[in-house]
Amino acid sequence: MTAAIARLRRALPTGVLLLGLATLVIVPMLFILLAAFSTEVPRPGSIGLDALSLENFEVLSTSQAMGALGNSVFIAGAASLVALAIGCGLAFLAARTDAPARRLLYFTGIAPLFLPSLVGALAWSLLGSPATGFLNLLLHGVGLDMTLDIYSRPGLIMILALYYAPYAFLLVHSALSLMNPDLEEAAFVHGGTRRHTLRRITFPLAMPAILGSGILIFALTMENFPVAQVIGNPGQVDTLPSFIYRLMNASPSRGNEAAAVAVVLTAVLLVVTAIQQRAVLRRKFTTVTGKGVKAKLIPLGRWRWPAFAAAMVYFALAVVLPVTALLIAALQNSPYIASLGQLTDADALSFYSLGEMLTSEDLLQAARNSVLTAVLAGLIGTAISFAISYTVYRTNAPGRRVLEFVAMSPLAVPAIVLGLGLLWTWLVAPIPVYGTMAVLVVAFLAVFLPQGYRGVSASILQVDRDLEDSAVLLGSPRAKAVSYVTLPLMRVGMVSTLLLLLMLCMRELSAALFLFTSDTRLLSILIFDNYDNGAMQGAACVSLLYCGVILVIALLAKSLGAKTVEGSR
Amino acid sequence: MTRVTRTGEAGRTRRGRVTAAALAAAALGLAAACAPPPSVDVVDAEQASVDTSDGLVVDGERIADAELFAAATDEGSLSLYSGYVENSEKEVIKAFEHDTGIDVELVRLVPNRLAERVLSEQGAGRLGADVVRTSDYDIASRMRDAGVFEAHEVPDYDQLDDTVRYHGGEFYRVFNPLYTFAYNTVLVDEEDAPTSWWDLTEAEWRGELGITQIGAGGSSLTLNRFQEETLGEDFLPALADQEPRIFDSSSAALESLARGEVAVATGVVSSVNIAASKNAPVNFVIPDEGMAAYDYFVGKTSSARHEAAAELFVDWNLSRRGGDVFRQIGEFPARDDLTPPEVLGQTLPTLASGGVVRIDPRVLLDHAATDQRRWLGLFGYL
Repeated sequence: MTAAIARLRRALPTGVLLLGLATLVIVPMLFILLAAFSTEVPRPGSIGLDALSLENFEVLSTSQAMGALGNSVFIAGAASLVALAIGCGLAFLAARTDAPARRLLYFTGIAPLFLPSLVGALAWSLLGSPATGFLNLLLHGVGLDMTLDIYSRPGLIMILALYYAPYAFLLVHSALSLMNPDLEEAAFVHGGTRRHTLRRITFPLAMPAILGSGILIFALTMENFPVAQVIGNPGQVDTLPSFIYRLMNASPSRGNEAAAVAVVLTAVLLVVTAIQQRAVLRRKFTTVTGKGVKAKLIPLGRWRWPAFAAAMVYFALAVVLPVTALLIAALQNSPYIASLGQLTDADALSFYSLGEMLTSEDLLQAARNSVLTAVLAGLIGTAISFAISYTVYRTNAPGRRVLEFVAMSPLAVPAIVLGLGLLWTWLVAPIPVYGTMAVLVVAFLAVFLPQGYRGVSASILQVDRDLEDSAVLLGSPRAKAVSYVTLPLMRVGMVSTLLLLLMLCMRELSAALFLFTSDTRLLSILIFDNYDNGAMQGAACVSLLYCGVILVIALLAKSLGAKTVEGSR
Repeated sequence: MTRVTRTGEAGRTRRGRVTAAALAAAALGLAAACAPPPSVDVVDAEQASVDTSDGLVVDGERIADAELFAAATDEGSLSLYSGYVENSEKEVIKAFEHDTGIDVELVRLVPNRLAERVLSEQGAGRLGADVVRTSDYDIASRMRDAGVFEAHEVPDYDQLDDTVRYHGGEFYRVFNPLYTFAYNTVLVDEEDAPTSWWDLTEAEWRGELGITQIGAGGSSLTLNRFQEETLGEDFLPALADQEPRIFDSSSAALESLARGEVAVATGVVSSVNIAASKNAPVNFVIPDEGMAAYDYFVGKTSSARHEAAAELFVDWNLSRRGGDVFRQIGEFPARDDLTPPEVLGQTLPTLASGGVVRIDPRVLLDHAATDQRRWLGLFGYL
């Protein structure tokens, strides 16, 4: 009897956590499944298993759906390759060569992170739209008879590659700079040439990081919605996420078919994520260690400056040109210009609209909402992540592996799909959460659970459990030992996780897409809404401010010594 | 780029960049005055003379009696769920608040997402709206079937015909946006602009057109039905041959038109009006064959917590004053005792002239599925 009670007591915390996570993640996915196999979308009063059918999957047999699937895979594949080339190249330059201004190169590698892909896509539609894109006006202005068309598959690939290259950069840069130089030295001692050593020693050692980041980028670009919508849609290039969005927004809404497409997209990502997890796990067996020994720099010789110039071209394409385009669009008095020369006219530009927007109630409300949801989701997310990590790594509670699996599962679920599932969950739930800020917090908690969990776990593993146990041995209750010993020791890790979550929540659009209403708009939603309502100037104004806010959080994170981003979206 | 590559070391490069950025910003600052861009107020709310000494009287029209107005004023605010274009709804609210002093809290979503929210809240017994405005008879009917609306008779109820009042006043048709096509005035001279729908199928507009996909809502369905009925069934195939750029929403199409990405696009008169008031080089055409008018409905909800304010809002919407506000925005008022709007210097035709074609909602419903299928097939979409 007492043994049974003891076991129950041991299982209770895990049970409560599992229940919580199930509501966050599993229930929405079940709703997606239900909707995909049903003729009615889940709604209060009309939910059940009596309208089951397979006909929603017929939409998949259409040529448009097959085209969208093909586009998704092709574009994500090509974008990952280009992003890898950029990210790895930059990482190599910044970490292992004598290229000039390597700190600037490092900044170049991560700077595009401050422009969410939505902002990048909007800016590039201003730059590269075939008729009046600024770059095309420039080309025509200097008398070149050529036209860039960003609304195309190559355009999509380029933009995705530009904004996802930092993920490859970060992972590969850390692998390259932490690499044990003894192995390379050994190769030299045995007569290996530099080229040979690079090929046989250095790159194989970095391979797990390269592969891992490549697959991560594939998964992220595959589920990316904003770029697909802003750049793909005008060129009639559909991808699965934009296809889901269109089905949901059709009139009458085709939610069941959207759910069927969502199931397919999730299935593809499930496979990709499984491969990625394996690739990431493999890294633990390599000899990449943080010994603090600086690896030798490789002299580039006459390639020093060309390599630097190439990096600057990337910086210009990913940051300078887009921000300039947004600034011009924010200041333009008329949405139409026939040549860049017009911008120098006396009344062509004005800060009026920017000022109006920056002080408008809409923007202030969205900024408040964004900060509030991000802070709440960050705090609660960090707390939940701690509870899970603690249960998984510090207890022998039954079911803790299941807990870990559920916590990592959102990685395989596209944010736009999770948002759809959450919409139906909270519409049906008896708690009045839909249409409030709370549902957005819930969405962000669910979407970024893996990142939070991973951040806190990494930190909890670095703190020896004996310290906490000693406190308990000396008579302290467990809870007190945790709050006075373990948590203070994990301070940096917890703050890093909190800031990472803050940053990710501030950037997120897709998860909130079906959950916001006009009084709970976030900055990202306000930009998308403005774009969707045809107010490009408004979208540009908010975008500029949005990047500013994200930059401030990033700087804050840096000054607090946080290590941001691993496996972040 | 060359400046940066010539500089050697990181710190100096950054300083160089900062200076360059500062110079660029200063140049922009010089070019950019802080003066407002030339724009016009679409609705002049202040213009109306309001007398509240005995009920609500605007420009001599008695909209509410003293009792209703006092009760509404006591409630002080109302909650409006609307599927109407956000900027236009805000103009309406501005005028209503000016006339009555009652605050309107707006929740705005595109009509089918609005339907989703209203039906879900209604199903859970927690509808937060006092008044709901939506396009699409189909959506209004589904809401009615779910018990969203409560009958309320507006002051001129008996003078309204059955295309305006529905189900004993559960909801009303208030106005009709007019769907036509518009052109970029910089790319296309007024005299060269197409003047009829069939002009759009001429070779010169090939690759220059933008249209909105049929799934975008009741507006697209109405335009489509108008094209099939009035222009004949050869029109859409001919239009598809022009390889128009297809947009997800009419606002996105209009924005591209304003930026000059397309020269001509289908568009809604009121949206063109508002865009033009914000200095976009766009104008609309009154085509020879006419234009399509789609419906917007408004109704008081059965769970309204601000009952008097909700009734006042519906009354005001259906009043001559309300109709006039919609006219100024560029919509076609449902009341037939108002003259058609004059927008961007063009006087719109009357319903009787045949220049404005309103499709009966039942006809629209009957054809919805087949129309969608045919359109999607013709344009190779979704």
